[in-house]
Formats: sequence, structure tokens, C-alpha cells
Amino acid sequence: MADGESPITDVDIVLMMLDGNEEGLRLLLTRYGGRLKGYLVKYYAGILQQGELGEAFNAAIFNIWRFADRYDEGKGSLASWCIRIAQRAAQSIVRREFGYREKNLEYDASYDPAGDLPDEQVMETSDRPDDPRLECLHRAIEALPPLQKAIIQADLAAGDGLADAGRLAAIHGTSKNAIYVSRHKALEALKKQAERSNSRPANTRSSHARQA
Amino acid sequence: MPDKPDKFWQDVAKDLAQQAGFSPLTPDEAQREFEALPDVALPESEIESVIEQVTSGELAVWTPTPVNPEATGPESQAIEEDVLQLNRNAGEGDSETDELLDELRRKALEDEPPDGQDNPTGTGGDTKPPREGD
Repeated sequence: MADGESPITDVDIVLMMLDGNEEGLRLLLTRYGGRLKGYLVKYYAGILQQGELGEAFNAAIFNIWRFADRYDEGKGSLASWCIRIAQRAAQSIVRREFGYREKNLEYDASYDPAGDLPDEQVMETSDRPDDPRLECLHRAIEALPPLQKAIIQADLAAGDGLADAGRLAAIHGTSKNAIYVSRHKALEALKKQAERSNSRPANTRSSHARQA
Repeated sequence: MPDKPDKFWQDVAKDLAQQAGFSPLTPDEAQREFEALPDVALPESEIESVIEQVTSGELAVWTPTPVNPEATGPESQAIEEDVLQLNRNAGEGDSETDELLDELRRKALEDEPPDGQDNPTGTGGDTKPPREGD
């Protein structure tokens, strides 16, 4: 039971959706819709346009409804599954990939609408959340010219891969070539910044070593 | 130009994305995100609208619209010029066009106007432009 008061459990909601019962969808939206939307706004309002946020929300709900049979209570709560589906829907729009809408996915038992669980390589990244180089790069991204900053932020929001250049070109009123060139310039600037931040600790260490 | 991440970006992007909250969420992380969000109810009308779209399978697709051009305009325009310069195709030579261009260049570089014609600067040979009433 999600809210501790309603006699209808999350599994009941999933079963209703499996039966094609709209009431299950209505209960899901009433119970979790606000926070799902809040999640998309919190992370993607600066990346997706207002209409795209609505599109991501609708796509997420569509996949929750369509793939309700893939929900596994043993792998987490319904709320957590829904959040992961919403994240994937938003990333698909940033990458402008609409494969997740294909009808035949319903017949692919291995398809997970919440996305594959992060693999070991991704999990490794959590070992260095306080890496000073990353802090330096975040500052460098903030200091980029507006178009370059928007491209890099969209690339980060795209998850695995790059943001679609055509979408960025349409939003920023320019061409795909200009997006490629700006992205290249931004990465060069960030690379230089990373090199500088890499060299600083090394110098500091060597000076400490000399003092010792 | 290929639309693929370069080596440097591949090395740092995952770490940066994780710090920004864009990495693929684990069920536990997603649960924490959910619990941290304010519990705001969706309006009844919005719920019904979403149900209608979802059950019909006819989802509206949003076409991105240009943002305020002043926000990225000058930077973008400068890049467009760079791109044009990089990609400019010189094309085949044309003697007539070359002659015409040479003639126009010569005219533009001429210091003195031909005899009997007005001074193209409008100063009539004076070093200063005419004042009002002159």
C-alpha cells in the first residue's frame, strides 16, 4: 500500500492496468502523477521545452500503461519504476529517438521500459563524486558561451549518447553544422580546463614532496 | 561531422551526468528521488486528458520552437559564418565574372572621379562635407 491509507495497493493498480481498466490509470495518475511531473520539471525543465516536458510525461504514462506486465515488485516500488520510465522518456526526447514507441516492442519480452539497470561501468562513477576535476568542469560548463553551454547540458541530459543536433538547431535557430562546431569548441575548452586542473594537483604534490 | 562523443567526453560525461542527476537511476535512487519530491496532485482535467491520449495511443509530438534569438543569436551567427567559410565551394572559374569583378574593384579603388562627373563622395572636392544651407 503506497499511502498507508488507501485499501488499493500498487499491485492492484498494476493489475487493473493489465486488464485495460482505465480506473487503474486514473488511480496511478492521482497517486503518482504529480510527483512524476515534478521529477521531469526538476531535472529537465532547463533542457526540454514546455511542450516537450508534456510529451515526456505522456510518453512515460503511455509506457507505464502499455508495459504494466513488465513491472516486477521484487525490483522496487511502483513509484520508483515510474520515475525510471519518466527519466528514459525525457532522455529519448533529448536524443530524439522514438524507438520506444514502436508497436513491436510489446512482443519483445526482453524490453524494459524503465531502461536497463546501470551496469558496473556506470556504478564505478559513484566512487568519485567529489573528484575536484569534475567540480572544475562544472564551473567551466557554466562559463561557456550560451549556445555551447546549452549543447553540453543537453548532451549530459541525454544520458548515454549525445543530444540530437537537429533538435538543438531548431531550438537555437541555427544549423546542425553550427551545433557540431559549437560542440567541438565547447569540448576543446573543457578539455583545456581539465588539463589545467590535472596539472595543478601534480605541481602541488611535487612541491610538497620537495619540501618534505 | 560525425555525431559521436569524443574520447575525452566519454571519459568525463558519465561522472558529470551522475553529479547532475542525469545518470540512469537504480531502483533505490529512483525511490529516493520520488520521496524527495513534493506531493502535488494533478488537476482532474489534466488526468482525463492524459488518460484519453494514453488509451487511444495518439500521443501529441511537440516540435521544438526557436528560443529567444538574442540569447544565442550573435554567437550562432558567428559560427554560421565560420561554417560557410569552411564549406565554401570555390566553383569553376568564369572569365566574364572575373573581368567584371576586377572592373568593380578598380572603380572602387579609384581615388579621383573621371573628368566632368560629380564627386562620388558628395563633397565637391572639399575636405569637409557641406553644411546645411550650403
